[in-house]
Amino acid sequence: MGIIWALLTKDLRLLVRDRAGFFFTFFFPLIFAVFFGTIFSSGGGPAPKLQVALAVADDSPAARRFAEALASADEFNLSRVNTVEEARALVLLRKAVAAVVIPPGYGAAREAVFSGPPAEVQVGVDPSRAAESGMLQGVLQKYAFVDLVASMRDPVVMRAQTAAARSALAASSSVDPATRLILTGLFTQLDAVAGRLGQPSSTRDQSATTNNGFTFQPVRFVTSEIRPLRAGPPNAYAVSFPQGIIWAVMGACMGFAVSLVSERTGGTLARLRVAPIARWKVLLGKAAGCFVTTTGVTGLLLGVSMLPPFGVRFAAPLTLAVAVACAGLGFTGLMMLIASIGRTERACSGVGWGVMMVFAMIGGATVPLFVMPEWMQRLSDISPMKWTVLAIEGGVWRGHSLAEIALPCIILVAIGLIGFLVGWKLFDREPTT
Amino acid sequence: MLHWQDVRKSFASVRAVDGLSLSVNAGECLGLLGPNGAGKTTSLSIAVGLLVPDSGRVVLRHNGADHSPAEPAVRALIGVAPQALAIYDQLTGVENLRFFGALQGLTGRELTRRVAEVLDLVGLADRAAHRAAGYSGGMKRRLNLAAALLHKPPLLLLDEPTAGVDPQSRNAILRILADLRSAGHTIIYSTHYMEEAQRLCDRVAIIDKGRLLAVDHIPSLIAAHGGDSVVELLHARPRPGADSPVERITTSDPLETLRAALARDGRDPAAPQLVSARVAGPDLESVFLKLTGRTLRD
Repeated sequence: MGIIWALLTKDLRLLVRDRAGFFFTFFFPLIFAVFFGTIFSSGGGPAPKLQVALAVADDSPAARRFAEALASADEFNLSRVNTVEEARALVLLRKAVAAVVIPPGYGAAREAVFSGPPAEVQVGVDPSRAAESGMLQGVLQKYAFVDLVASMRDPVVMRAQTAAARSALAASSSVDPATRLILTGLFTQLDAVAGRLGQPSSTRDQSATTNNGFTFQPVRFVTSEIRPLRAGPPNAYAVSFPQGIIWAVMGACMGFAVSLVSERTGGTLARLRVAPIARWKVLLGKAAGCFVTTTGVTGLLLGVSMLPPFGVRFAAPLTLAVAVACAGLGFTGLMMLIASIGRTERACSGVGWGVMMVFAMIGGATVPLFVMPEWMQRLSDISPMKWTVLAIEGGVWRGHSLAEIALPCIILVAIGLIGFLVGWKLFDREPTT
Repeated sequence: MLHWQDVRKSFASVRAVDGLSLSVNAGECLGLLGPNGAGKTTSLSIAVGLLVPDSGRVVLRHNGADHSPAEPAVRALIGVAPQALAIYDQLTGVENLRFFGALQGLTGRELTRRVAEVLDLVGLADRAAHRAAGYSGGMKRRLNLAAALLHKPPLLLLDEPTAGVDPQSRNAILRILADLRSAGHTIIYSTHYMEEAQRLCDRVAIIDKGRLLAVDHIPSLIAAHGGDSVVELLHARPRPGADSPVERITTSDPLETLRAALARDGRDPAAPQLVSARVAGPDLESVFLKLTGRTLRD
């Protein structure tokens, strides 16, 4: 243990005295996290479009017309799905703010717009996104009335609607004479207007109802709550700090990789190898330095993220601790792998940073994973940074259980083990000159 | 104490060590003399287990038993000063030595005491708290040597420990090593400086192109391979028929040659006055030249 401790403290001392390395390991990630967290917190720019899932369960022309109106709406990013369950699933997975369902019977109800119950549209919303849901309902109302106006501009549709209403009125026995008189006159006039391609002069209040079952509400939106499986990040810092952590562990990883190559080229590794200690202890000592640095800097950044200006609260502290440890193991293995790539410090640094930057960009260290397009999210599977971000976000804001971060953690530990084995081979590799 | 037994080692098509069989006895200083690329460093690397020979083996005999230097416990018997400066520039002299001492199993007060002792020995006590990055080349070399001495190893393998240092530091290092030899340490000293080998080593092994050309005590090597002496006479003016006032005579008996030259000039009244006479005997350089056909600096 004394040997490993000696190696570890020596490497940490060297890290602290390398000012550039220390900056990129400790301060650059902090600046990154605070800078991007602040930018994303302050908003600005156009509001993003609402992600809405739409399922059409009615095969009527009215349903198709309404669906097309929604599809062409500027306020939405509409995902057309085939079933109600699929639409709800998108909300459950936080891939949509709301699930809009046009149920069977919608078309028939729209035909009887001046009589009978109003057409229903079911809207399942994520209650944690109340503002967006409210905005969504307003937009849906707008398109319902747009559809109504469009139908009233269509004399065929309008005359069909008034004919249906007049028939319903004639068949109804519960309408009092005064109302019947008023409505008969209204429908006659509407029919005349439709005949002259007349245009309506005002919109109608969706909540307006008449007595005795005669309503005038083009569409009734029946809302329900769909609670997503997970809550979203509480603030932008909960996203930017895990990203900053990636930069920190990358800095530590590269610093140790280059220092290991320096030890080899400078001759100190030879001195370690001729020391009267088992070689695995020397290797473990090197790895321990990297592990302590990566976990230490991760802990430091997480600690800073909890301070008042940032206010990040960890959803699953135990998960986070395990994730940090696994990330440390994974990046220690990466360090060994990178150190085995280059025979010189320059080669190691060049190749290492080149590979790391690509991994970082596709792995969520620059753009959060959850805003990436789907194909890029799939591509990011090859990046160790993705698994690190997923594991750490699992503890920071996703509230994942240990079982839920098992996959990222297994991948990270596997990277660590493979790297350690490659490092072992490297350590025993003979010089070629 | 340490024995190379028909050791061979190649890197790709280059044969770095070609059938080396060599022994160093306990308490002696053996010089490995050869030009750059002769195979000295490879031979030493095999001896400490850093390289595995293609064939043959190296044996360290200790307490009546043969050991491989690859065994960790055996490596405690060896102190190595690599040719490269194997120290950490960003650590101070003390921090470097404390770290390397810890690797050798030294702890606590013993570690502190030994660090202080070797710092004093190599003359770095007053700069111990400074980072090695600020040391001169000679000081770094001394720190490199000090790291090999911390655990008082009976066998020292020193690979060109004076490479690139100023004469003052070179003298200091050679003085330290002479003291260590006197104290009973076994030293294997690799160098391409003939004068260092002559000054320090009991025996010298001459190596070139991976092969051992000769190994013996220095006088024996010179007697066997050094060739003739050169008597150099400086006259007041060139002798009749000569272009230069310096006359060089190669001879196996320089004293008789000098006597004959004086007698010759005494018999000739027209001979120029003899100003000075110098006898240059054969040395390791001439031994190396004789054995390899080229000088150490080639």
